[in-house]
Amino acid sequence: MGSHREIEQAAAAWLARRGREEWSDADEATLREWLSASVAHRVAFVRLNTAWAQTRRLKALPATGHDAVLSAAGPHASSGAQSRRMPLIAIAAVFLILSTLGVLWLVTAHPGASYRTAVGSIRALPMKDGSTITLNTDSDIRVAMSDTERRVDLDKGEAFFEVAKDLNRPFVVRVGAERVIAVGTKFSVRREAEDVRVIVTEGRVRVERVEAHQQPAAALVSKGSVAVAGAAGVLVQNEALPEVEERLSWRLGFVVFHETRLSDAVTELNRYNERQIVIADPALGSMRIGGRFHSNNAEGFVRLLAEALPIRVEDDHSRIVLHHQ
Amino acid sequence: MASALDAWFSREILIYEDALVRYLARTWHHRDDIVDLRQEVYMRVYEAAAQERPRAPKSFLFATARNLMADRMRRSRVVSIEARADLESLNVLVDEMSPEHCASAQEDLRTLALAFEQLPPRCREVVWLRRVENLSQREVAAQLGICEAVVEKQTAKAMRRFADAFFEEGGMQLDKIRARGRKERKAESTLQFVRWR
Repeated sequence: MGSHREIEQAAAAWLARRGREEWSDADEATLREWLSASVAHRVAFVRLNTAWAQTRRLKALPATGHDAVLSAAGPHASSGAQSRRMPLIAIAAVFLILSTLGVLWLVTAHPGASYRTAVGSIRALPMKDGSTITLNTDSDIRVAMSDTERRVDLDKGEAFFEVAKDLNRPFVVRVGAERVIAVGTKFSVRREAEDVRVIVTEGRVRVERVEAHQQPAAALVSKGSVAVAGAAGVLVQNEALPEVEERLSWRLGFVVFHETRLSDAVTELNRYNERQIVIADPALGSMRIGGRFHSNNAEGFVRLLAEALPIRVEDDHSRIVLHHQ
Repeated sequence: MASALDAWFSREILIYEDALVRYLARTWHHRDDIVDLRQEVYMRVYEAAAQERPRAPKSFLFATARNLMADRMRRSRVVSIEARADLESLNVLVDEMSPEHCASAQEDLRTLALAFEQLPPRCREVVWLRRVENLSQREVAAQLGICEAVVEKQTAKAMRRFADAFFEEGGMQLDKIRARGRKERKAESTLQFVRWR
């Protein structure tokens, strides 16, 4: 008996050979013989075959409904008829889909443009000035670059800004009455129902509130801070940098919780998924959970919960309902 | 070709591959042996299940892994004390391992997409054309301008790479649930409120 690595090579060779058009009964018999010669052969073959069978499901990827990403592919998006003849384009399209699954997708942004992401997708936009804007799920921005100002309107959702230093052109993110102004730094801005949340991981930003006929009021927020700006003022929490970075795990396709109320965790996860999780029993909502989860995998999240908590999962097509057991 | 036993094996055992490998790696200090150990465990489980399917496949899998390592340690002349101590504690660990991804990593499109993405470009092309575009080996060869034997070779390579990536965990984990009302994790964070004016 050879080493397991050699056996695996042989098993893969058999599996690939079976894909030939001229695969005959005699070949099939030889394969059976090889398989029954040793359990080592059999398990290696079954293992590869199990994984390989899954590749058929790659077809399902484009059907996951990230339409904005598909449409944003613009002139490169291939029609179905073309894709058969042009495999490379088909593969490019897959990459765009993959990008919604956590891999950043790079496009060149133009001034005066607007950008959006579908639920569950992430998008990185390199700007001409060297800055990069990363859009989180279900977000909307407009970008206007002029000689005096670099301006972004965050109309919906959340974005992370890596601002290239330019003393003559401040980088201004506007969210309703609030403005976040930076010269060169890294920070995220999230638009919430009433408030604006700003997280700074490098340098310092100025958060301003602009009201008619008044001088703007301002607060400075520096690296390692989580600031929530509302009508009355800014609540600033300072944390160790790793913890602040962790709050931005969405850039890698994860959400991280620490002793978070289940209801809050579910709200957060629901931002990333069309298929919503619903907590039927309020008592469940106050349970605390922690962990690191793929933001796009509501099903997996619920599965883990059900293993650890007294939860019964009711799974219908449009949503996932959690009941107390 | 696929027997009921094969189907059982892939459904009940292979889904724990990632947890199994981590379990082995935690105890066995020679990384080079891990793949061998994994396959040996599979063989033992498969052979036992051919006689009678274990009622609790997950526990059986981990118990088999533990026994295999114990056998190996008995047979080897030099045994690291550390490894032995780890082995003693394994009974406890098995339950806590809660192979996160287990229930159905296979259902997780994301795992699939990431595994696909980890393939070398040429392999990826071949997999795409074969499995999604449904081209025959010959058609793929014609399309890529290479001979069929090369397509077959690339396919075999892709199969091995893909299996490794696919069974590897996607990185999800649930922390152990702690009692309610425990004090906040970090004491050193500060809070201040700045009024607009």
